[in-house]
Amino acid sequence: MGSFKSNAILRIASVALFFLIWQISSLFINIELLPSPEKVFFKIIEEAKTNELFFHTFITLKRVFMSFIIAMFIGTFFGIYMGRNEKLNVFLDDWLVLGLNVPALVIIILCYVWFGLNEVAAILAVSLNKIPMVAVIMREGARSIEKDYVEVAKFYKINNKKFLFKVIFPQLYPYLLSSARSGLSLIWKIVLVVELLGRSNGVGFKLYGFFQFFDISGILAYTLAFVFLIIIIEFIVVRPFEKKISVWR
Amino acid sequence: MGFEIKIKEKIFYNRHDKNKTSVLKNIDIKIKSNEFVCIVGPSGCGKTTLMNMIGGLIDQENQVIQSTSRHNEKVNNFGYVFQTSRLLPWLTVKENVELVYNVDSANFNPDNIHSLLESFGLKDFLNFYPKAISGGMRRKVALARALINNPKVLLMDEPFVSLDQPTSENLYDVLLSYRKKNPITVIFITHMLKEAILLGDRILFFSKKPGTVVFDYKVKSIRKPLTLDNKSVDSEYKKLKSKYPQLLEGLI
Repeated sequence: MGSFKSNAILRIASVALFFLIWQISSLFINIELLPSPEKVFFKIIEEAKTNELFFHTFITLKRVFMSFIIAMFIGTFFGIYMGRNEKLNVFLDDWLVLGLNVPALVIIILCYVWFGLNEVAAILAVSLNKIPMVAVIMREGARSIEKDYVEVAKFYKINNKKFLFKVIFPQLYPYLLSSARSGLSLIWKIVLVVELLGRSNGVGFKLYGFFQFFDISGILAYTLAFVFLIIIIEFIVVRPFEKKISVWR
Repeated sequence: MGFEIKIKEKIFYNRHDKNKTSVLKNIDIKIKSNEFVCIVGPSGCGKTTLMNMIGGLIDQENQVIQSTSRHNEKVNNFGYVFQTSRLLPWLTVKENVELVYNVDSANFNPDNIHSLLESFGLKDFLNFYPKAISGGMRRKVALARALINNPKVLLMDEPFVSLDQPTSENLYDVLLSYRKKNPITVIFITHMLKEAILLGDRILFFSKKPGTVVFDYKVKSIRKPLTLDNKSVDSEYKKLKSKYPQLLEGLI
């Protein structure tokens, strides 16, 4: 309990320090280039009052989640199979290297060119950017599956459902969590680029507008609001899940 | 359940240097129903390979002939206590046993898990994770897991290795008490000759690699008290050691 309390104090102190540095810096730098936290906060309120903030944030969040689910599902599937099947791994390994090294921007532009400036192209572009990374992490997970436990399952002829959910997945959860965490942070950054380049709504689109008018307060207001949302997701979804799956440790 | 094991030769191929190693050769063993057979032999003589072949974990390549093939049966007639407990660390004691419990079995009753673990002295540890219980307890859970489906044959591969003597003796008691109520054929690998004399009806001594039976010995000792310093066991151990000083090295 003591450690929990001191950790909470440390976190609060860290956030407070961040805003303090920002506040002090804003006093010395041109207000147009770096508005104070207070100004950004009022901008958030202003955007929230017109519902603009909620509308665009919701749209972006929707894209983030759709891309996230698609990337996690496909990446996990291929990652596990590549980790367990050496021939498939050899066959797909170069594709994976290619996927990991093609710049995100290239995939986004190609998707827009090939499929048009629409929602499907946007989601596809983000998912394609993330799938190789999930597959690489899950492949490592699948390779680390303990042969001893698989032998126990084989010996006792346990059914497929039990085998997957009681023997295999628990060994993959840390990898799944790691790819989910890195996925969420990467995906929302790519979604903003996708929106900036070819959508007429979302946080990325709004940022582009603010950039045109050199409105730094607007840029920071939307960025802060979205980061805040991602932090909330981390605390109410990712961390409780992490706690639940690692209770035996 | 009695059965017969016949292996002409078991060869392992090394994928990297393409070398082949003969692990077992000319094995012909007949095991009677409810017999307790111990296998003793030098390290690397193929004892675990033999056990894994009997258990179906290694391809038998038509070399093991059993009276009842476990591969053709839906109901698992075999239980296996591995060299390490191999309990799944993310499952509790109860869940580890539950995992292998055959729900299709005619005798399926979820209460059996409780009663078996209770009879092994694990009643208060059902919801503990393996990490939170002692090494001896983990072996008991592994034994319970192997016995939950009422197997006819129990395979045990050095199940009590690296345990202190009192813990081992407690586990002997648990195993033999269970066996008294539920007659079962046991194949037990050990590197401790005293343990083999104390527990087994018969000891098969294996040669060095490629392993083959060099001596089939019928145990005479009385199992009371069930301790490793039992006088009858001790004198039989000494007799064997003086008559065949290199028996444990696979030579007679």
